[in-house]
Amino acid sequence: MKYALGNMLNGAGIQGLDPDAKAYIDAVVAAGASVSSPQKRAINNFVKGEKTGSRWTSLKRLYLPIWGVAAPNAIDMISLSSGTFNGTVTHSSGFVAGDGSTGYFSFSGTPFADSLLATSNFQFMLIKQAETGVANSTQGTDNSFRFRRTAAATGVQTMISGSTAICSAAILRINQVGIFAASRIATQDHAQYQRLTSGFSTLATDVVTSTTVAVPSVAYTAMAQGGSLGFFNAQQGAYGYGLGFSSANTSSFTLSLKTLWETCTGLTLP
Amino acid sequence: MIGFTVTPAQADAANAAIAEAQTSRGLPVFWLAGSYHIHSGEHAGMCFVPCDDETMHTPLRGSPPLTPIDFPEFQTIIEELGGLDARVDIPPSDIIE
Repeated sequence: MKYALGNMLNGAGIQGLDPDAKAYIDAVVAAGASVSSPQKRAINNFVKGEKTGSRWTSLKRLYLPIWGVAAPNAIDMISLSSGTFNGTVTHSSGFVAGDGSTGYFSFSGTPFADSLLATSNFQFMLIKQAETGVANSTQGTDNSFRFRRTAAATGVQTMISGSTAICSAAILRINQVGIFAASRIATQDHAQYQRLTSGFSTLATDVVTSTTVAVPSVAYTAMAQGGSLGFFNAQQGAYGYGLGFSSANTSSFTLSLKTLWETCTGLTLP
Repeated sequence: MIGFTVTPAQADAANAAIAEAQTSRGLPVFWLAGSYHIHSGEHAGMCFVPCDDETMHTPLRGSPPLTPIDFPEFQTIIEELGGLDARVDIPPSDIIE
């Protein structure tokens, strides 16, 4: 009886809140987010599911900027540290969007400091609505370890090392939506994936055997490459990175993230 | 894009003051106006600090959320940059290489 009452008091009626889920919920509430019981349940289910699937410890940064307020949007679900929004960013219910020229988000960690490896790394972003702005928009860091899209109309989504593009996939700009993920694990070359409501697909795999991407020690950014050039005005509902995932784990993770985002926002992934 | 065109030192000082307004309250630095080098156009060589309506009304923290203009420090920063009437409108291409 005492146990059940304690759980109800701690979790607003949700029994057995995972401590990491509770810590994140407490942090975003303290920063000004209003978190409903269904949202708490969704966060709890996500964290528990990632732990059950043995992916939680591989995730190093996961931002869920759905709260409509900058401070909770800046909180990393994994470390609970805060990144920094810069420039003009719109904070809406369910997503953030840069203005395509000044707005971006600087992560609170760097890939190198977070122990990502050249042979084990993973990046992802959830895009609700495709970019309408300039070409060469990016997520990542200067000169390495980044997602990049080029060309205003046709668009090429790539993961890049320096000036050498690897793992490129041509996707019409209008179709640059859903959850994009890029992963590298020791037993598999780089691969790029897309999760849509209609399903999960592999967009491209590295054509250069054993090519690696340097893991940088400068800040990783969403909506802009290193905060200098290539800004992104797509509507984004999540972004982050971690250690490399297999194709199967990438599929499972993106499905969990889709469920989390949809349940918390009431929106539907494209 | 609407904002201030200032020297790099002024832009750094403005963003440092915004950061200080957060850390002095025991908060992490979760929001900055930002600073962008102007590469071309009439103000080339200066820095651009965004300050349009969207920026000034960014929901920062709390429920209901406070915005930058709710903080006296932000009003002071704007005055030190010359006041709202000193803002200019420049094309994004001026800051994108």
